[in-house]
Amino acid sequence: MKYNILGGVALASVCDENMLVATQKATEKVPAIKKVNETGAFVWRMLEQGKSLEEMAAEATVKYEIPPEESRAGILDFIKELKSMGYIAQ
Amino acid sequence: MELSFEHADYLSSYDGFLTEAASAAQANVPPEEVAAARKFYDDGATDAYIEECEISRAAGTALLPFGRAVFHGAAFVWRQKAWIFAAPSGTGKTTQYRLWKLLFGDEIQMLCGDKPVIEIEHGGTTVFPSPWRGKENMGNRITAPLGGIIILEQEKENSIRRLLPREAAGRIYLQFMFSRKTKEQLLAVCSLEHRILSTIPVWLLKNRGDEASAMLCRETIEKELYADEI
Repeated sequence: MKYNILGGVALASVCDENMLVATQKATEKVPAIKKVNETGAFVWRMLEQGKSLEEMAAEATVKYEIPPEESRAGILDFIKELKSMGYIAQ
Repeated sequence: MELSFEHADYLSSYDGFLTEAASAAQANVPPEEVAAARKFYDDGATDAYIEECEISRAAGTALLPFGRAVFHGAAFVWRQKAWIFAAPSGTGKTTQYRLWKLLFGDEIQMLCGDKPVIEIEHGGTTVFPSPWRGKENMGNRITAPLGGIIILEQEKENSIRRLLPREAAGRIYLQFMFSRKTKEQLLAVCSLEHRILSTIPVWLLKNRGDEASAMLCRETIEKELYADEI
C-alpha cells in the first residue's frame, strides 16, 4: 500500500530540528509548521519517495535494528497521526 | 528594491526610502492576491490597506534570493548591536520596547518597529530598517549587526531562559514574512533561519509586561554576553 501525501509540504531541518512546513495553500488543510523527530523525518522522506508500508518497514528495520513488526507498528502510528492532521489523504 | 502599488493611500510611509539606484528585485501585490488575502482581514478592510499589509510579504519573498528576509519583530539598537523582540502581533513587542526606553533611555534606539530587513552573509547578520514600522510608526535610518532575538510570551510571572537553536526554530520560522507560495520559498527561509540560529542567541522572555521584565531581560543578556564588562 502506498500513501498520497499532501502537496505543498516540505521537510526542513533547522539546527537539527526537523519541521514539516506548509505553503499558504496547504495550510488550508495542515498547520504552517509541525515538528517531527528524526524517525518521523525518516518516514516522511520515504513517503515522499512513494514507498509502500512494506518497503518503509523493511528500511526502518535495517536502519534502527528493530524487529519488523515493531517498525511496521511505529510507522503505522505515525501515518495515523499524519492522516488525522491532513498530511496524508484518508 | 522596487515596490509597485495599485493604491496610493500609504505611499507617504515610503518617502524616506526612495532611491535613484537601480533595483535588483521587484515586488507588488496584484488585485487577485489582494482579493485572496481578504479572508485574513477584518470586515471593512480596504483594498489599499490589504495591499499595504501584504506588500511586506511580497518584498520578503523577492529578497530571499539575495540572502535577505523581512522579519516580523521590533528591532532596536543597544550596545552597538541590533536586538529583536519577536512575537505574534499584539503580544507586547512595542510594550517591551517602551519599557526599555523608559528604563534605559538613551542607551537604546528604535531601528524598526515592526518588520526590519535581515541580511545574512558570511561575515554575519545585519539588521536594516524598513518602511513597515508598525502602528506606532517607530523607526530610524540606522543599521546594526544582529546581537540576539528575544521571543516574547505573555505570562503571569516573569522568567527568561536561553533557547537552544533547535528549540527556537519553530517560533522563529513563523516570524519570517514571505508569501509561502512554493516549497522552494519555504526551504529558502529555513536555510536562512538555520544560518541565523547557528550564530545568534535567542531567549524566551515570559513576561507580565512590567518594568521588572525589562530589567530581567537586560540583566540576563548582560550576564550571558557581557559578563566581563559588568
